[in-house]
Amino acid sequence: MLSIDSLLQVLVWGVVVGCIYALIASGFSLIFGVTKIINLAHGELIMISGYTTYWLSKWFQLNPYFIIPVSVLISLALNTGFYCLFFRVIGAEKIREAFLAIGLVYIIENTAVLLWKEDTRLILSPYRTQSIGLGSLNLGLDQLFIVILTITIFLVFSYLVSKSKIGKVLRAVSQNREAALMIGVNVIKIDILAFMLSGALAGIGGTLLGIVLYLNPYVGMNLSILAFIIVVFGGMGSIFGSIVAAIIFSVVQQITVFSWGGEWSNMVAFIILLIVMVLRPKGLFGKEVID
Amino acid sequence: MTRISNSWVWVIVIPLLIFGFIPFLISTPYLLHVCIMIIFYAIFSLSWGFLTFSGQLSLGHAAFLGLGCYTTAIFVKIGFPLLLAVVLAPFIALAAGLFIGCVCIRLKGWFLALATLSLTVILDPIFGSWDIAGRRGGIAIPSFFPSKEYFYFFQYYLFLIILLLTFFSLYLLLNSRLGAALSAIRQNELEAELAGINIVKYKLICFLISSFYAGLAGAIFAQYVGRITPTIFGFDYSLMPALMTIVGGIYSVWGPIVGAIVIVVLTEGLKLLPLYGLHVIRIVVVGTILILFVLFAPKGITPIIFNQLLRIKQFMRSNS
Repeated sequence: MLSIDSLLQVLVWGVVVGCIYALIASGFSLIFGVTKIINLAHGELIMISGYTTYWLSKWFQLNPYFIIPVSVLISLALNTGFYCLFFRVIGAEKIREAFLAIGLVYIIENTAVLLWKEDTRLILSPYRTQSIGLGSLNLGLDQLFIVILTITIFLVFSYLVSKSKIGKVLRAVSQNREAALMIGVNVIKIDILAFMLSGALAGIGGTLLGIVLYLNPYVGMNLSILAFIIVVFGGMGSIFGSIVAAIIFSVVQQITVFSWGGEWSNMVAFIILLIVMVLRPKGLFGKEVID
Repeated sequence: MTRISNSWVWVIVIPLLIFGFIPFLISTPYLLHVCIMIIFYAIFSLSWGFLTFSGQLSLGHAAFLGLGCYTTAIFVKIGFPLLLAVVLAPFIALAAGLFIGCVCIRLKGWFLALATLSLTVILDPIFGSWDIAGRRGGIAIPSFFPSKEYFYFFQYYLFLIILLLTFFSLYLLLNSRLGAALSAIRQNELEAELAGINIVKYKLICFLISSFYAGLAGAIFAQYVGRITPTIFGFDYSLMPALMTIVGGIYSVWGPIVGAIVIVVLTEGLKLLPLYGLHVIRIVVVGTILILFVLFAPKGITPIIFNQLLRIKQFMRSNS
């Protein structure tokens, strides 16, 4: 069984992975909150931006942390493209929207396999071997960076959403689309903004994912489903809920992997999901049940 | 009036004749295999499509398919005759459907899709680490027709009979009160409830019927392929019926069949092209087609075919 030391180590690891999950899920949640679209192609963006960082840092021998702005820009542009080309055209019908996204997943995933093979890759960070000892705990420098970076991003993000004017408009659209339209908000513009912000979060998430975990072309679909689960778990449309849910979820997952083995990790996660859906359909911090 | 219904009979009889005589026309095992896969996917897609009639959505239909497969295999392994195992398997799938249905039927659209998806993810490691089910290596199942010579011939007819049974039973169900209730629920749940339809009951019935037929498809699929591994619970098997239903035509009993023909012929046809990274390009093509259909023909192929048939009929009538 787990000793206290290894339990702590697993907990820390769970929090680090949870930060990445939080970045991914909050992007997903943002799109859902504002546009009511379930974007199952969200994970593919993460895969693409992870690979962007991987190749750029490999070719130019750069520190991957400095490439984050580039991959953020690329994934932001791609996500805006997806919205303008596809999601905007079909309107709100859940079956069409789901299968549009799944079509995109098929295309992107397999193009990635064609271009980059099925190998699992890691973004090599220069701080890979360095770590800080805290008592019996061993904290990698990369892990520390990721936690700090995520906290910073979410602080900036929550400031933007709660204080700035554009954040207020964003919240207005997510609370009541029709009313926002009536008071003269350009809803399409706000939708595009939501897709851009979510693309930016995905760009950061993809790079961090490549640094701490791994990248392969098939990682996208799993991440989309994971983001969806976390969003349901934390409450639809609540960014704070998504962050808390991501960390709980990943800690539970890591403990399962550590004590029973990798193949059971998803199972425990999905059982939690089922229980949450039945007992509390609005999720941990959600305000309403949304179809 | 009789004239119209007479001419509609041909729409059913001609495909039946074509499908009924295929094994006499082609003897290549590979081509027969392709036809069998078409029929298998048609049955599976019909079960998925039936669920959409009530406006419900499943992203984990492979759970019921896989349960059908594994139940058949395990029942045969512990000593049941194959026929009994195949008959029992759909009922086990139905029991799983009842469990998930009772727990989750009040969840709407997306949540039900997630719940069925979680069922596949939960079942995968269970069967993958269960000794009786052969862990990751899978479990072997005997076939109904041990003779090598006429294997595909008999299998074809078995699948065809099951397809006909599925098709006509679902067709009758949809033209009964149940079908009317389901489409009322799909179109507007609130109004349906106000009209006195017990929504939960009808949705649950729809879900159960759908899981039953998915289990049936799994049972005959298992005895055809001979070995079942946990990959049956994969996401690909869950998406296939959805893909076919959408390409063929959603909210129609013909749609899944047309879709199964189109998608299987397409993927098998793309195998013939000498290209690098074949498997991958195939999926890219399928994805592109899916997007094109969703964007430009959201009702699928079937309405287009029916419109053409109608036009031909009007043309013939105006000539005679």
